[in-house]
Amino acid sequence: MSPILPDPDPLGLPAPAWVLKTLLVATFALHLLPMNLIVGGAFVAAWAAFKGRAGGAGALPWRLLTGDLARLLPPATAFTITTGIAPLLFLQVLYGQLFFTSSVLMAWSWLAVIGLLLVGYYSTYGFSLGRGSGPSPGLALLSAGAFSVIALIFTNNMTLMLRPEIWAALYAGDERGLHLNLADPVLWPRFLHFWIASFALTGLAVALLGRGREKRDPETGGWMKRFGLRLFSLATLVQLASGLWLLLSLPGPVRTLFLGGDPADAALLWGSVALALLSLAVVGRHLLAGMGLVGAALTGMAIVRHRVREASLAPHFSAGRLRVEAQTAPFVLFLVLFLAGIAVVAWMVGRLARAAGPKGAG
Amino acid sequence: MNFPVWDLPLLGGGVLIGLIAILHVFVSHFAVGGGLFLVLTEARAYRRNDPALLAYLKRHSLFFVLVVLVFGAVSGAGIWWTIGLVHPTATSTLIHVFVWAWAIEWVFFFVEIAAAFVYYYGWERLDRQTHLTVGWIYFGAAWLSLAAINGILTFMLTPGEWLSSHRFVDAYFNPTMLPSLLIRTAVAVALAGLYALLTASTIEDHHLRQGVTREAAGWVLAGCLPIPLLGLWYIGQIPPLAREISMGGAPAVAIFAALSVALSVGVVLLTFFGPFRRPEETGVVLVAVIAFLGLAVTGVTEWVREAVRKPYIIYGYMYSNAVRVGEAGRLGQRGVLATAKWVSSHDVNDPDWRRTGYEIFRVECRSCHTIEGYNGIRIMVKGWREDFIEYQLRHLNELKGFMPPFTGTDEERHLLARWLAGLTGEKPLGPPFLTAAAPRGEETRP
Repeated sequence: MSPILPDPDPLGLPAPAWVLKTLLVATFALHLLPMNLIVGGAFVAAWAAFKGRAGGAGALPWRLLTGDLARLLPPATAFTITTGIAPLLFLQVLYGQLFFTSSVLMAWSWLAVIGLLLVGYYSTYGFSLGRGSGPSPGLALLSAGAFSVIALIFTNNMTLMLRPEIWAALYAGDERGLHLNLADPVLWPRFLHFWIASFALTGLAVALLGRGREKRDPETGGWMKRFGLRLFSLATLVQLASGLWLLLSLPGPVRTLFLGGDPADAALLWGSVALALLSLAVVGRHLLAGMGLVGAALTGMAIVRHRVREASLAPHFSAGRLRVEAQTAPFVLFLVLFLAGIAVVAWMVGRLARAAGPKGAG
Repeated sequence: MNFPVWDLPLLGGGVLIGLIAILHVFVSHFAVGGGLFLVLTEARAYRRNDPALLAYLKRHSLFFVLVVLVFGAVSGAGIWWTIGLVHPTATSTLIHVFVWAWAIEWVFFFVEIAAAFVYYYGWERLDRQTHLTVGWIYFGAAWLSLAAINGILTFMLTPGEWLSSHRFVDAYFNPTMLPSLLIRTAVAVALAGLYALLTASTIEDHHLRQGVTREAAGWVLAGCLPIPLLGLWYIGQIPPLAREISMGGAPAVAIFAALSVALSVGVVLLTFFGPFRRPEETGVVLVAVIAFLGLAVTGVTEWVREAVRKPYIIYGYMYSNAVRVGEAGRLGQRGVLATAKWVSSHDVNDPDWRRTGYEIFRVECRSCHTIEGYNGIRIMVKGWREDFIEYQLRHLNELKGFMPPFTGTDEERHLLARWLAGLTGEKPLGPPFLTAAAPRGEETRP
């Protein structure tokens, strides 16, 4: 069966492709932070809530950690959604004809993301507002499960959209939108690579929470920091293995680029790996410096992910060749409002953070 | 033509979008008006030094966060998800015309969400003035987010000058943008009152409950008051055909339009004689009835707003079945089977005529019609002879003004008529969700 490739929209791109691609990758990198935090954080919260329910002195630090995570999860979920919308918007404008097609092929699972999100999100509130015996490990686990399945569905769609060669056969076989991309060798390593990263990031967040606690409560603060850093180190080491698996499972021509076929791509990948390794060595002594290195590695990996997409699509399509009908004034307005928006949010969050205790708006 | 059609049996895509959209509209307008209600009531509580009112507001703000931040945000994404699945071609058009409007809306949404959290967590931590400022930032961002999306929505019915200029400014500042924005703002005020009625009914203190109930009822009435006048302005700006459809041209739409007016009057009367005049006697049942009527008004009104846009999905630019007006002539010459990408046969003379007939149905009609379920085609053509169906198809847009013309060659039109005529007498095989694909059988031309 010959491949079917829908035509790109005749209206042309509203900005040069490189502008849209930059925004796509930048907002996606931003999305990674809260997204990792809610996937890994919900699992850790479930574990901490479970350990905290045991009696004795040993349970106290777990209970404090549970409380910290319970406060963090609902807003982090809100920001996962908010920061997720922007990359999806730029993805649709650049690669819409591919993305809409793969979405229709897996319509039911794709639609299920909305229901799962409601379940996962409300569960974080149920966990956070938990009364009686305290936050329920079951609710946190429900969140963690719902968020993990969403991640798996996203991985399916983001990989299925790169394989126009199999679409026609899938659609001819069944048009009810019941497909997935489970047979793709890339699927599981790619999912795992994202999923395990969430534990590393959550480890760092827990370490940061511990650092914040250290002044008031050196014992619990220090314990949280050690626990978080152990989680980070362990997950990062497993990440090396899952990353290697992902690299080996990429289609030959794409893999070759990162093994030296394209010096820039290879430098980007291995540079990011080096930054991650360096962070392992640094983070124990200088938490913030280590986090900076992880942030840089994460950004590098987000660009690698974009390069994998471009290289996989190269035989079929290049967004760079699309006609451009630039809308300059609205774009400038967006940039100005974006900066203003960040300033307003920073002011609000700053006021909240500086307000140490009850003051009495209520 | 360009994208695969998602075969959603019974419901059809339109109903799915409608279900999610109506719930989202009901919550998202509350997200805007509710912010104004919170901050104005908070300021009044400070002026009167009323700790009981403040305690109510804190509880109301938790309800607000749980409804708006979670359901409002997720259902908004849900609309985006479903329109992409059901109308990928139109969604792609909107994304290309409005990517920066959406990006700007995203900034407002981001600020709105952040402000809601700071407001909620700030009750005990921020000083009064800062807390009120954050409340105003929330309301401002939420209203601006509504304004950004509203322009995209109204563009679909009245794209105005954009059709010839293709300029962003013409697309956003289209003829119904302003009246629609004002109507939606008024609806937001009314819904803020409606939701406040709900939470007020849980207040235990009699005096406070009466006060808040009467106040909330005032919001409902104040929101509803300007809508008739604004509605006339809006209706004056929509295309003549859309006006005719809503006023008798298509009976179902006209009935729903009348229902929208009647239910709105019901909301106003019940609110006026109930919670506004007799707050002390207003119980939770009456409030629930008013809220349900409010949801019903939202539902039928949004349905009418969508229905009057027919036969287009983007007025004058793209028909409901994703055929661009400008490409209809070419399709008529080359044929839909030859042009459509996802059909299993490109040959109108394919001996498996049932399969090709079904393919034409799927490409031309499936975006609005199911076979067995909502807007089901089998029942519509039941007992019609093939030549009668063919005549109907040839004059589709003249006989039924809300339908797009058939685009395709004469042979394709004949084949579709034959396939449709074949639906009569064919027994559904088993449950309807299986029979949606049944007419694709391998039976060949006799």
